[in-house]
Amino acid sequence: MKLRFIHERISPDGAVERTSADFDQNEVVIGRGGSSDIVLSSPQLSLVHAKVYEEGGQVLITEIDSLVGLRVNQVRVARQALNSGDTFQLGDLSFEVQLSAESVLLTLRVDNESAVPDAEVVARNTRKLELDAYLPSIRVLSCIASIIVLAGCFVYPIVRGRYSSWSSGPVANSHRMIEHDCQRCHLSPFERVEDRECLNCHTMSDHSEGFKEFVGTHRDLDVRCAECHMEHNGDHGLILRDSRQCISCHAGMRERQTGRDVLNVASFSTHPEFRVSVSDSVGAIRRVSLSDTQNVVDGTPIKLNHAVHLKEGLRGPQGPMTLQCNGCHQLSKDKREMLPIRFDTHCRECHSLGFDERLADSEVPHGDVDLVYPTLFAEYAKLLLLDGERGLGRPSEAVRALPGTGESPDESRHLTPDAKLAQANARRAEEELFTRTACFLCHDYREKPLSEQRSDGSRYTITPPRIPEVWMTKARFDHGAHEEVSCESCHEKTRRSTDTRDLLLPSIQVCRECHLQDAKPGFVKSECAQCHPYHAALEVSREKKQNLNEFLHTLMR
Amino acid sequence: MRQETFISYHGYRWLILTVLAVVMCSAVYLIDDPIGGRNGGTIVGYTFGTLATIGVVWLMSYGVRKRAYYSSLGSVQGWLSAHVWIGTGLLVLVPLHAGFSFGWNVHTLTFLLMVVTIVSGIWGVFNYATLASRIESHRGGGKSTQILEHLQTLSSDVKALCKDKSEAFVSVAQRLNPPFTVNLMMLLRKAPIAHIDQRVAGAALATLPDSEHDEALRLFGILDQRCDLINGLLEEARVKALLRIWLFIHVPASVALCVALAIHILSVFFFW
Repeated sequence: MKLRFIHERISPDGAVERTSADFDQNEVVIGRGGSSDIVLSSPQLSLVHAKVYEEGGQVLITEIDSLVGLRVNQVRVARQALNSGDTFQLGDLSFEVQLSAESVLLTLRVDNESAVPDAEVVARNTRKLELDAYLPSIRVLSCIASIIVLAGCFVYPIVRGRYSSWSSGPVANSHRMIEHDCQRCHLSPFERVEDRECLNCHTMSDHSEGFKEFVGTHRDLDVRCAECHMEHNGDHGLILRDSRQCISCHAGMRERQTGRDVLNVASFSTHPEFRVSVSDSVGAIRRVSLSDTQNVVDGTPIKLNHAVHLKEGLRGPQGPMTLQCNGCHQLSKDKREMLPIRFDTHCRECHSLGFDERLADSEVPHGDVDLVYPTLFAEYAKLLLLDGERGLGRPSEAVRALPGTGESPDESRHLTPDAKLAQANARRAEEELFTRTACFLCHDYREKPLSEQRSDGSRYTITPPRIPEVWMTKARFDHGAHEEVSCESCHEKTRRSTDTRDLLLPSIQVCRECHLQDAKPGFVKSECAQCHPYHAALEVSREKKQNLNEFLHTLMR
Repeated sequence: MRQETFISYHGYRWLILTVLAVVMCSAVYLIDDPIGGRNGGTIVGYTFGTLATIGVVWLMSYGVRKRAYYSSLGSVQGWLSAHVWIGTGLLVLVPLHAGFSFGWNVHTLTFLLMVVTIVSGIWGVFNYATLASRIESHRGGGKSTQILEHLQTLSSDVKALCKDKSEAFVSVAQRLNPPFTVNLMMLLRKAPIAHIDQRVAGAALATLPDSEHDEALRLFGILDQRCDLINGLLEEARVKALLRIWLFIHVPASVALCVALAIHILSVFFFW
């Protein structure tokens, strides 16, 4: 196929510039790219836009790859046979076709006068096609976003003194009242919270004497309050529950505090047997392990036979009765600890302090031995006055000789015969109570030396029982939390105990049946702090107490 | 063979490195069981926070590197690949740093700004992956200004064609002439102008005298061409807008992130 291409450019003054190119090949490609045969610079042309070729005696044109497509005589087509006189458009270029028997003539006319685009309109429309025309610039947006963050999160907190947006997390519930008053704890910027800030409000005991000494000699260690009491951690961190914090020191406590009565504790599984505070013969308190069966005895000078008390069908004031543990051992109102045993509350119902069948309604008082003899004397004197000598027989024995002297104290030489009679009866009853019946049943007694005896006072004294409120002073057992468990599940030997010196506390093995330090199915996860309270809160001194209104006013500032 | 892109740069080198780093950090996070619980204030928390801060600063430096045309500090494509993958990795690293604790404070705001930055960046990557190739094929060559000039030429042709024609002809030309109007929604939403179909053209021809039918067919051809050009322009403008609009979120959010990050670090140590 022979093809002649004529390119005519008509200038505004009417001059025509004409160039031509001849081709003799099967197909002629028109496009903007260099690989095309007819290369034109129109912006709407694709690199290879269309091709003209001969097939079956016909001259055809077909679109190759373009956006604006191919139009023949203004009709968009993909492929079309050309006839003489046809016009086809490729984008903004319009070609006239003349066919002869030998060749194809394509004429492209570009009339510069035909269209003089308005540059201003084009520029305006070009701008309309750009996203930037509708939005602020990225730089402006960046500035706005930065200023908003800076103003809201930096300037506002500093200017208004409200730093809640700087809080690294919620404070513990007990500190919510001072949540917005950051400087109450954070006194100095860029410095960690020191203990003095905590102690401004909290009066605390030391962790322990040993700990205090240890901290004093190990200044390099960070043992601030906040090291354990992690604030801004919700309610999880303020009260330390993680045993690892304790173990980090206590696993090697023996080595750290040589010479002190301390044991290493690396976990609950390897926790040493419980130690109880017992008093020795001279009353000194020492801690003895429950595994030390030789020394772990209840040295409290009081007599109690648990086996007898727990027998079924005991003889009670109202007939047969069976005592339960909680008949005597009762929980405090908050159910956290056991109340001390009191004679009046727990014993008197069965154990009468009566002393004479003729005075059935009279008892001596409990608690103050010096009131026993005066009470007895008064009661017998009263009986004498009411019934005369009929009611008050002669004492069966003469007044006892003073120990070691063989002589009787001449305490009655100034008394009337009636008074002497009452005195003799009172002394006899006193001796009976202290050495054989009521007092003797539970207490150790001692006869006062002569130098301490008075004619109107008791001759005997009771060894104070000194029953400890808690046996394990370094730990706290929450009886209330174990209320559903029967007492004898843990205090196993109680029902068999006949010796008052038996210490009926459970071994750590009993606790391990349910408690384990690590989380494990079937066990209660137990941390050190669950049993070991430390530096309990003390009563705030009077000087530190604040007026409520002033306190609230300070918080709301 | 598939062409290597910034996504698959050097056999997904930065993707692999990022995944390894994230897996390693996650393992450390899971193994670490600090007293008081996991949070930004533990040793691991501080370490992750430091790594994330270095990451953010480095990611921001991509803006400098891509403008440093004469820099020999790695290829821009490599930097972009690392920028994309390391940035995505921060979506995991920062929550690990914070121990997944969030609240109404500047610290969580910093994290949110980072999420907005990264998600908008992922949107941009997605747009490039799906749309970038369409610019060249849709353009048919040339710049939009030249196409707009041709549109004006076609408008002139329509006006010339209407000269000395009946009022009905002019009315048809005005009614069927596709309008060239653009707004923000048109740039973001695909809504091509409909071509003049046979039914409309037939109805229009019926209103014209027979003597103007040939000219009317020419008019339809010109209007059809205008329609093609406008649709091409709008489609290209839409693609270009989608390839750029994410930057209107990505860059401001990243700058604000830097400001928030600085306040975050300052506030943490101010109230130590």
